[in-house]
Amino acid sequence: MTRRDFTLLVGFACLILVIPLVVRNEYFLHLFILAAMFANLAGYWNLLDGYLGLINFGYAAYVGIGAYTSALLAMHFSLPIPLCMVIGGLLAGIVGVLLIIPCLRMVTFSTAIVTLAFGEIARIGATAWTGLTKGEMGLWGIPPLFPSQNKLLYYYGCLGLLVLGALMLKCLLHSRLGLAVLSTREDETAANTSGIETNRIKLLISGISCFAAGVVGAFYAHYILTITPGLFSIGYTIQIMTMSMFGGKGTLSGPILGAFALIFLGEGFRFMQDYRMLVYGFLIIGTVMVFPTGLAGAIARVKQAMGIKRK
Amino acid sequence: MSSEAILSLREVSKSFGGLKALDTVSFDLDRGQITSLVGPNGSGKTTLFNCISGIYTPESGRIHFSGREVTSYSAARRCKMGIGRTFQVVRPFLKMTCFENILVGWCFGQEKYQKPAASDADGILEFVGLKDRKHHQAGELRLAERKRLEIARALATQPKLLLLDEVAAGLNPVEVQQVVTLLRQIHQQGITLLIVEHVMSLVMDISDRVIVLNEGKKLADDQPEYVSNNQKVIEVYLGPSELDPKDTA
Repeated sequence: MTRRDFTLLVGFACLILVIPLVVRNEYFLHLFILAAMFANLAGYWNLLDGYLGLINFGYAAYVGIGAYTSALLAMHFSLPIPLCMVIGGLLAGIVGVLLIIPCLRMVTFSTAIVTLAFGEIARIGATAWTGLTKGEMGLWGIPPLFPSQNKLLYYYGCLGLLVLGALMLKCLLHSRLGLAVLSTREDETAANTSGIETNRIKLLISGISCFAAGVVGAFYAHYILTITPGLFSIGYTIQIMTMSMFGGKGTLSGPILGAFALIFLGEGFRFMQDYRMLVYGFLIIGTVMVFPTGLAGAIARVKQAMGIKRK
Repeated sequence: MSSEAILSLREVSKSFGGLKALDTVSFDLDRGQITSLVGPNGSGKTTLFNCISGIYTPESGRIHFSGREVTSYSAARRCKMGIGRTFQVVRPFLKMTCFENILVGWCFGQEKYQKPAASDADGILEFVGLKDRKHHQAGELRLAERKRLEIARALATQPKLLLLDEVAAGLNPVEVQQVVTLLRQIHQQGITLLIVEHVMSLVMDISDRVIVLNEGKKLADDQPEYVSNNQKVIEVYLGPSELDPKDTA
């Protein structure tokens, strides 16, 4: 990172921290909180898809598992909420690992089908198990994470979670484990014969990624305070996936950029009413066609072009 | 199994559907030798490599390496024990730099993890002649360079036995000569080599011993000059001789 990049980053961080103090708009804060949660999810989806090369179409199910587990624990056992969130994440992680075990014997694309099916099963399960989840009625009256329902606290809370998540990702990918993850994506057989137990790497990374999804889901539950089985739906998985690809698959900053861009664009297009999703869709297709490496790739190219000009 | 043997195969068999790719193959490799594995296409050479390096598990038979039975070990575990290999169709990590490719071998392929020092990677890159390519992505390299990179990645795992699958295929004569030099240098470091090769000049040039496979069976196993005069081997390669009385009968 150059000195200029660092100054930019610090400036950006200050801006983000100050915004909610200046813009006292609940709706804007809500959008920001959503975007930060999606950014975290897209980042950890990207760890699986972009870095490890394992597609998980049931990703929303882990968000749901984390949310329901944490909410139920907090409601019935009144455990401290941060602890509930961690347990929710752990359960999501464990389920994620268990699901990948049978997938290890399949080709990558079969994994996509298995996880897709699991996502649906989990959603139907959450709907049908009314004794526990209250079904379509949804769970309500979930204890909030912060004592006062001040959005400002949640704003900083989700921001903290996002920074923590991004830092963990960065450390992971720059470690020895990151090297194993990349080589597993590049060529599994070659990685095996270079001493990497790729199956263990897949299980470990799936566990980490699903854990993160579960924790974010739990945060959502204790923020919104009402959750329904809709949280498990494939639509969310697609949304997370789109953000990751739109922002730049296989990059650290891409999914964060993608999540913020798509959440705020989606809202910004509301004036178009019925045509909103149409324009939104074309915009995504167009961007991916022009910049296959996503927003992050586009920025890198612009930076490179500027650098050449200056020389 | 003699005490000298680094690798020992006992009646190893492997089939795909009804096809017996390997049929009770047995041999011992002596430490420090260069052995070539030759045979017509489809004779089971690559299957044998996959069984030795752990990509396939043989259906029957046993494989010992350095005095331990490794038949059921994973490829990664065998790599850590000291079996390195390259592939016929090269498989470097294309979107990673040469340096990172070697780092993978260094960080995961050694028996005990050693913190990589820049000089180690540089040394290996220089050894295979890719020093000026250190920060290039493997996808940018020519075929000859990719083959060298694969050898480098295998060397970074500090192998005791190196399996080389057609390192000279697709290279021009100058490049083949460079590979021969490189193989000799690797051999001088005390690494035992098992080579699959179609370039016969290379085989005759550097091998201490040649094993011939045909239809999954061991056909001949001797010093190169004897093997090249072996009647059965000539028949397999050139077709049965018309003067052979058995055929006309």
